[in-house]
This record gives sequence, C-alpha cells and structure tokens, in this order.
Amino acid sequence: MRADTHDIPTLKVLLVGNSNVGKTAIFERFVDDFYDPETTTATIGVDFRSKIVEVRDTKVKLNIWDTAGQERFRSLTSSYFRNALGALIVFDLSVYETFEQLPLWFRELRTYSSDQQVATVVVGAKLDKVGSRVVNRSEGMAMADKNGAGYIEVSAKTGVGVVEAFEMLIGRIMDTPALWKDGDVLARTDSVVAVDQVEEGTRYCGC
Amino acid sequence: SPTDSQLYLVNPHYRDSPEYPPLHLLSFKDAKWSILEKFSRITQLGARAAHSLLQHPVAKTHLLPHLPESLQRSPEVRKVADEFDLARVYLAKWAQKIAEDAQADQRKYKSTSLEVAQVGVFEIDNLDIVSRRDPLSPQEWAACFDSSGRLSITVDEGVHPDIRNQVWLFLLHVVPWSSSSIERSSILSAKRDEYIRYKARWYETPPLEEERFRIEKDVHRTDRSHPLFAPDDIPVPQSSPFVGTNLHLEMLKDLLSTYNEYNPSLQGYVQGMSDILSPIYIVMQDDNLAFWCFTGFMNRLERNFRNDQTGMKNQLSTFCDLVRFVEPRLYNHLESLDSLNFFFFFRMLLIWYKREFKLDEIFRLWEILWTDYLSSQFHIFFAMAILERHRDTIIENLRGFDQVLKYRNERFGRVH
Repeated sequence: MRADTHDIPTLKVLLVGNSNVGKTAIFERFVDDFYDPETTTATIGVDFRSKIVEVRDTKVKLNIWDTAGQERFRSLTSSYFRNALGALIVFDLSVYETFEQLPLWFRELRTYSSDQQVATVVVGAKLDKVGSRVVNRSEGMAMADKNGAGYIEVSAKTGVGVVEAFEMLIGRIMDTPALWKDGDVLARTDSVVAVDQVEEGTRYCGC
Repeated sequence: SPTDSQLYLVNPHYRDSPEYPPLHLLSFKDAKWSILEKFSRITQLGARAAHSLLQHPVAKTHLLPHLPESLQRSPEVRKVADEFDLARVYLAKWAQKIAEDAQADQRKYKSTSLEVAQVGVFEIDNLDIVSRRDPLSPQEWAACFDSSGRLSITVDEGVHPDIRNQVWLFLLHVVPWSSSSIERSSILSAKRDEYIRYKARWYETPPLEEERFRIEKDVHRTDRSHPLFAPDDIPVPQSSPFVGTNLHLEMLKDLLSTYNEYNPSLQGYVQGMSDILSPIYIVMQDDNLAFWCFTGFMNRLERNFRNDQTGMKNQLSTFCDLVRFVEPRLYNHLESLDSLNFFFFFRMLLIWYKREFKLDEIFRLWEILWTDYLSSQFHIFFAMAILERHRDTIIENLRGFDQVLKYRNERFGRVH
C-alpha cells in the first residue's frame, strides 16, 4: 500500500475563482461523489483533499487545494499557489461578473504559482440551472482559448462534467513538456525547493 | 509580567492592562530566544521529570526532601543537587521511554493494515469542553444583582442557556458591568435609536449590488441546518440566484449591511463575518441586541478582517512563537514540514473555532473566551491546546505541509 502511493506521481492542483461559484461543490462531487446544498458554507482559508485517478493508463495522485474566493484573503490563498501544476478556474455560468473576472485569476496564478507554466482549465459551473445561464458556450471557449486554457461546463449537482474537468486538467499537465516527462512530474531541483521552504516557513513567524 | 516574574505575557493587549499596567508590559518578543529556549527546556524537563519522579517509588523515599534555598548555594550541596538533577533526568527519560513504548504498541495495533501515508488513521476523539464547574444558572445569576440591579460577579465557566441573552450584553460590553437596571434600560433604548439610524443610512442609499450580493450569498450558506435559518418560504426578488429566503436570513443580511455603515473602515463585508453573527443572532433573537453584541465581538475581531491581513498575520506569528516556546520538538518538526506559517489554524483563529464545534459548544466557548480571564488572547492558547493534543501524531506521522493541512481538515474536531 505504502509503496503504491509513493510510486505514483503526485500532482498539486488548485480550485480558484470568485466566491460562491461552486468550487467546493465541484471539489466534493469529485472527491466524495457527494452534493448537498444544505450543508454548504463559504470556504475560509483552504481545504485540501487527495484522490488517486487514472488518466491515459497512468495512475496519478491528485492533491487538490480548494481555496476561499473572496479578495480579502487573496494574500493567504495566493501563497498556496506555489508549486501547483494545474488549476481549475471556476466561474458561475449564471453570474456574468464571475466570468468577467477570469482574467484576474489567470494573472493571479501566473504571479504566484512559481515561474513554471501552469496548466489551466476554465470551468463553467452550475450547468444545471437551466434558464439562468448568462454566459454562452462560445464566449466561454473564446476566453479559455485566449488564455491558453481548456474549457468545460459542469454541474456539481448532477455530476455532469466534473470528472472530465479534472481529467482534462491532468491531460493538459501531461501535455506540457515543462511539467511532465516520461510518465512523471518533472523533478524540481531540490535546492530550489529547499530555498522556497525556508522563505515560506519563516514568512509569518516573527521569532 | 512586572508583577510576577514567573508570568510571561504573550502578545499583550490593552484588554489585559487592568491586571498588567501598559507601561510595564513585557513583550514576549523582547526577550532573547536563546534564553527563552533554555528556560523552556528546563521547565519542560523539570515538569516532566518532577512528575515522573514523584511517581517513582525510589524517588518518593530518597529524592523528595527539598532543600532550603540558602543551603543550595553552598558548593557541597550544589554538587549533590547536580547529581540529583542527573538522576532526575535519567528517571524522566526512563519514564518517557516507557510511556512512548506503550503508545507505540497501541499504535502498531491500531494501524497495522493501514497505509502509513494516509494520516489520521488514529482515533482522535473530538475536542470536548471540559467543565470545571457547572455553567452559571439563572438562579445564581439573579442572586448576583443588588437592589438597584447592579451586578457583581465573575463569569468564567459559561452560563445557562436561559440567561445567555442577558449575560452576553455584559460580556460583549453592550452595557457596562457597573450599570444599574435603570441605566441599562436607558442605554439599550439609546442603542436602539442609534441602530435605527445606521440602518436607515443604507436603506436610503442602498449599497452597490455587488456588496449586497456578497452578503446574500454567504448568509444563504451559513448554519442553514439551524431551525431559524432552514426555511426558504419567502420568495426572493428575480435578481437573486437563490430559491427562497426567510425572515431570519433577511435579518442577518440587514444586520451585516448595517454593520458596514457602523464600521466603514473594513470596506464592506468579509467572509467569516456571517459565521460570527449567526450564533449571536440565534442567542439574542432581537435585531437591536444582536447588532450591538455583534459590534462588541467585532471590536475584538475586526483586525482579522482588515484588508492588509495584519491581524491574522500577527496572531499566526504569535502562535508560532508560542509553539516554539511551549513545544520546541513540535516546532522543529513543523519547521521541517514547511508548516510554520500555521495556515492550518487560519480558520480557527479567524472566526474563533466556529466551524470546528457545534453551535451549543460555540456559545460556551465564546462566552468563556470573552471574559478575558487569564488573557484577552486566550483563543491563541486554546489553539495551542488543540495543537498539543495532536502533537504526537503530527510528529510521528505527518511528512509534509499538505499532510498537516489534510490532517487538520479531517481531524481537528471538525463536526460539520
């Protein structure tokens, strides 16, 4: 068991996007195949879960970081971006403003995720809300294209597209030579990581 | 502390100042770490050693007699004392080893077929609030008032649910402890007028749609399983993405909008504030009183929600200092895991454990923390207690920041 999880590559991926677009619902549907609108709460800080999935006959362990959406906590959430290989950038298909802010999220990711390329997929959420859609598919795809991202529409409520969104993201990580080579995550040099750790570790410690 | 050399003040706050005059506040950071570290090692070892020492039959008969201080200064006695110390250390180590072995055996038994990397396989009971005495009862409370309705009491063990809505007015400084009942009723009526004035401001000049929506979307996902907030039997306007609302949800929205008027320096609603308001509203069930209790609590918490996040950073940093001081071994381990930012305590410190406990536990915990008994920063010590409780598991099993975060999410007394 132990050897198993250690042998398979681990990918750190993020869920980002404005608040209340449904990041946590997508996260819970994917990890636990669970959806309950009654128990939903605003994410504060970050939640973290793992799941092992198989894409293109390769098993990978996804470490998924579900972040809080509100700007006020950006200085915290952005520090989670480090070393992420990919991100689902989520917006609400029924709230135009959350779509308009996608460029901000791309910028945020580029700024904070380290200097490597990050694979991205734009996710239009709440597909089940028939009749409330205010962003159409072609508009969404155009936005994703412009930023070099994949595009998919999902519903955490029905489960449509959720697994596919993560698979699409993993596929894009595997297709990015700077991130993935010969069936494994490209090793970042240890010394670089070590330096990062020191910085990160001491940032908020005044001692 | 200037009044007690054994007492260290951690992140002293003006609320602590009645006991410790501000001019003499000794900041924790002023002291040199090397000294504190040594001190910590000695006290830790001392405490552990003393404990195991007293348990040991040999120690009980031969080592216990304490020497007066004057005698200890003589070289001969010093030598004996040093040997005594060596024996103490030996006994301490021996006792610890026994304890560790026993624990390890237990763990081995529990985790045999489980994946080591999957943390959190050990049974960790939920955090219980251990009661040292019963909460303040309505009868006791009534007996605390004199004939003019002035109060004389120390509340430090929580209060009975029936009198909570009265006691909280004092604890949250809505009414002064020294007020008479006549004074209180005039204060509360003046507060009502003031509340209505703040409310009128945003009624007359409604906030931006964006701000209104920011509040709405959080209120509609705050404690919805509570009977007050569960129904959605009132229709919402066309523009709202929600299916329905109810009177109490609308009250929460009004209160949060009114707070924006009362405290414009926060520049609008911040996530987490609905979590702070909800328990207060449930207890008070009166919008005027809930509003002033909320502002009372927010006076403490405001720094957590500021744009620059300095309040949170300072508390996380204080917490980091505290861990280094109290649990150096754990500190070193967390350092090696790149986890010294203590982000895994962010939510707990931001909204005072609201998401980690059930509502009735939160009422109790908050009212105890509000008393400022021992420290106005007791919520940080509470975090320390939670961390300590998980210390061994963290040290022995967690091998990365992500695992620490995962462990926190799954195990730190999460009840929702």
